[in-house]
Amino acid sequence: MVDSAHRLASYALQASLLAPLAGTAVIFFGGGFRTSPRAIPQRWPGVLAVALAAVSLALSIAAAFATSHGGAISIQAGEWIPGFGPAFSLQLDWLSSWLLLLLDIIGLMVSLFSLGYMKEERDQRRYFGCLLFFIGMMKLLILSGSYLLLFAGWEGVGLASYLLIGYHFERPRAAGAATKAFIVNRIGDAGFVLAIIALALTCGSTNYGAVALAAQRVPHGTLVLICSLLVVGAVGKSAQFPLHVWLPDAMEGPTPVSALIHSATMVCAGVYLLARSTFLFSLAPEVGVGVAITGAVTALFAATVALVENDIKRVLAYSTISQIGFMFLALGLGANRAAMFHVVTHAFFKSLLFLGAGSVIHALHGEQNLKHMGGLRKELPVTFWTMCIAGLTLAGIPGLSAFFSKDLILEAGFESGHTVLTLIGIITSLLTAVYSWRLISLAFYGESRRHRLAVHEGPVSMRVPLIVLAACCVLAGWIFVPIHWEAWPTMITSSFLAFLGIWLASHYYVGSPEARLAFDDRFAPLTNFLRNRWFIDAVFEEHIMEGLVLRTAAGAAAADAMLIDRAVDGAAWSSRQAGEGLAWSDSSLIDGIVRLVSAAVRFLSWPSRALQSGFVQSYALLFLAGVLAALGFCLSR
Amino acid sequence: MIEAVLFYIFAALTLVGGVLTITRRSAVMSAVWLTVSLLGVAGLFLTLGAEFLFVAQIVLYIGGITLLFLFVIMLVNLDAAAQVRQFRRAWPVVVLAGIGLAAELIALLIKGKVEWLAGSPITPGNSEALADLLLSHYVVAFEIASVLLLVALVGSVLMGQQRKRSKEQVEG
Amino acid sequence: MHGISPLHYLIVSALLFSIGVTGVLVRRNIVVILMSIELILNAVNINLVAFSHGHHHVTGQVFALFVMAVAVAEAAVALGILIALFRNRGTVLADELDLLKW
Repeated sequence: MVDSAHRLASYALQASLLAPLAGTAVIFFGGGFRTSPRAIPQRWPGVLAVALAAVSLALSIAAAFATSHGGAISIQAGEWIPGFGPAFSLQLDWLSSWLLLLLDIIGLMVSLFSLGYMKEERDQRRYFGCLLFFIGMMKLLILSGSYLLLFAGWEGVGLASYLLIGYHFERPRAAGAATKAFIVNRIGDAGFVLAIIALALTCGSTNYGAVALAAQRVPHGTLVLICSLLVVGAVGKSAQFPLHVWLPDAMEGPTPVSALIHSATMVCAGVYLLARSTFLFSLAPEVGVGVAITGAVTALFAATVALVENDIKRVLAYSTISQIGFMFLALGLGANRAAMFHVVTHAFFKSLLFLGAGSVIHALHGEQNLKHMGGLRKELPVTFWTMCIAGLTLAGIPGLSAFFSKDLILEAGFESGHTVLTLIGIITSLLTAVYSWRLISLAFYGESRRHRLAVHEGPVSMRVPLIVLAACCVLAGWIFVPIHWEAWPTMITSSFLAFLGIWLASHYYVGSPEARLAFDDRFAPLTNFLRNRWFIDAVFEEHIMEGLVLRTAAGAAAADAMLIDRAVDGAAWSSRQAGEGLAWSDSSLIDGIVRLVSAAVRFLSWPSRALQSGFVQSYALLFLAGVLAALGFCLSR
Repeated sequence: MIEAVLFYIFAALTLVGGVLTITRRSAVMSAVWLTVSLLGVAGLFLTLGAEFLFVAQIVLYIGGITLLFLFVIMLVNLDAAAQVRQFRRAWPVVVLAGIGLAAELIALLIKGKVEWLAGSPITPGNSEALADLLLSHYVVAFEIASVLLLVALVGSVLMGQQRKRSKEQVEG
Repeated sequence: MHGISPLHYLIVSALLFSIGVTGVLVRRNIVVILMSIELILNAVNINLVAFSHGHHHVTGQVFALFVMAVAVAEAAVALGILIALFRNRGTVLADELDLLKW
């Protein structure tokens, strides 16, 4: 009974993985190969995406259910390098099943939201095709049973991210943002690839199980190196300092894309990677400290920048960076469960925030600057209330899900004894509360600073996801993890911080403008520093983008001119020489042979031609010759 | 004795006439020497006891064929033809071939050992004997020969008809 | 017949035959060619009559008579053809009649 259910569950798992990818294939190949989008947007790609997302969710729930009762599901297939382990292996255990369900739920919500949000867009196929491709690749990443396959999914989501950020590629800023995202990701990927190679060389396989067994025997230094390289990869993908620069610019993509990819799933891939590699990091605790420090620093830095950002999506981008910093902090302190729990709660409230922002932007017909919003509370009720819930969750109000997850992290910090890191975590929590309420109040409260006055909610397809996600925000905390009621000091502290932050924000941003202006003047240099994002972006632009990328491009161009063009010219020259040689041989040899043949025929046929003179007397002479021969024969006898 | 002399005279006439026939530039002279040669042949018939053939030869060949040749020569106006080269370019080859032919034939004949049969020659009346045989055993051949001559007569008259009528027939 | 064997006649016949063949092959004028053909036929007749005399039988002479008849017919027709040819081609030279040439 258990066995057959298990088998069904494994089929469900595979189907869940294949469904979005099949959808991608159908969307890309099913609509013909016309590259220019249609004048009237098509309906079917979006509907198909939503349907497949729902189906995947159902399948994933079935598979996860089987896992929780029967243990992990593992599917292995194919052997490509002897002794290296199976080519394709999927694994569903507690770690991957959480993320699987998360991905499917948020994927469904985002697809549904996109139906309404992207309704006017002309190129429906490309959007939904890439969306499904992303979901499929992320699933591959989550479900994979080996580092190599994880990397395949890793790259896949990187590609999908590039395609989706650059959806409006006709805008140079969007195209540039997509490129920047891909390049920065690549830097991290380089580290990841090196780690995989090192694992393959030292452990003989990249399968989690095999590596876990073999890791004991790997020398310590090598392990530290491997773990550090994995951290580099995670930092690139999860937008931690110093490879965070791509995430804010990635907001150029459509808002649902940001909800799915850049808040809920992809950016958590790095966290997932590190969580998976516990058996490695437990053997190299030094790296864990580095991870924690990275996470803490990033969290603080990003939170400060989020305070002064004016673009609604950028605030959320920096918020994401900051929250993932919290997750890294947790991982570095060894609190894997806390980190994964925070991943789940963060996914819910962040995607809700993004979709809500999308709803606002949609209502305001493209306005994204907080300075031009305000007073939307009455006019966008659904959006307002759901975003309120999400913002409060982010701030850490007790009872909502993120309160519990953040508490777990702060607890871990207290227990570990790293006071500096814990202090940073506390300060960041305060700042988080401030900027999150700042966002809500600037957007929804106060006088209307809008250009447009008449706004209304989006269609049902946009409202339903908001409500569903808000429900998740509220409930997730109570469902998932047993609550450590005994850590009540932490709870009290964080609750206090949350309320303090909200009060500060509401006082500052909703209250009197004069106080605000005075505050701004006094802290102008700080504000400026923050506004310029600690000048990291500038440094990045100047040194990496300009220096590295452009110089590489110039080098490539020079190589192209010198080597490749010369090679092409050489090929052209040699083929011309060959052609001339062939022409010569054709005219002199081949033609010569043909002429020789004809001359031979003419020569050999001369006697026959001469015989056919047409003169009867000549013929008669031949008769005579024959007679003479006959007579001679008679004579000789 | 006299037969031998006669034989040699007639043989000489025949052969010399033949050679001269084929070597004269003028066609008329060729015809004349042809006549001489045919005369020699007639004489050879006589020495062989074929009187009827001797007469037939003279009447037919000399009285008929040579006359025919001379008429035709006049008709085709061979004056112009007499100006051009008369012999083929390869004539030495042909002469050689002819000499070879003669040599081979004579060699074969000498090898063959031909003898007169013993016994008396043909009973008196060569013509009668000829007529007997012709009209008994070979009467069919005789008749056919007559038909042949009729056909030749008609044919040659047809061939010799004037151009105008043949042209009309072609165009009509 | 003293000293004159049939061989003599046959040799004369052979020589006349050769002369006739040479004449056929060497002359360009068709009339002379026809004359040479007459020489050939006569050589054959000599042969026939010589054997007829040798065999004491006239069959050979009958044969010779027929040869003569055919020769006459052939000469008449040939000359008729020659006249027709002359009228059409304007020539009596065998060299210039090479329509059989490839």
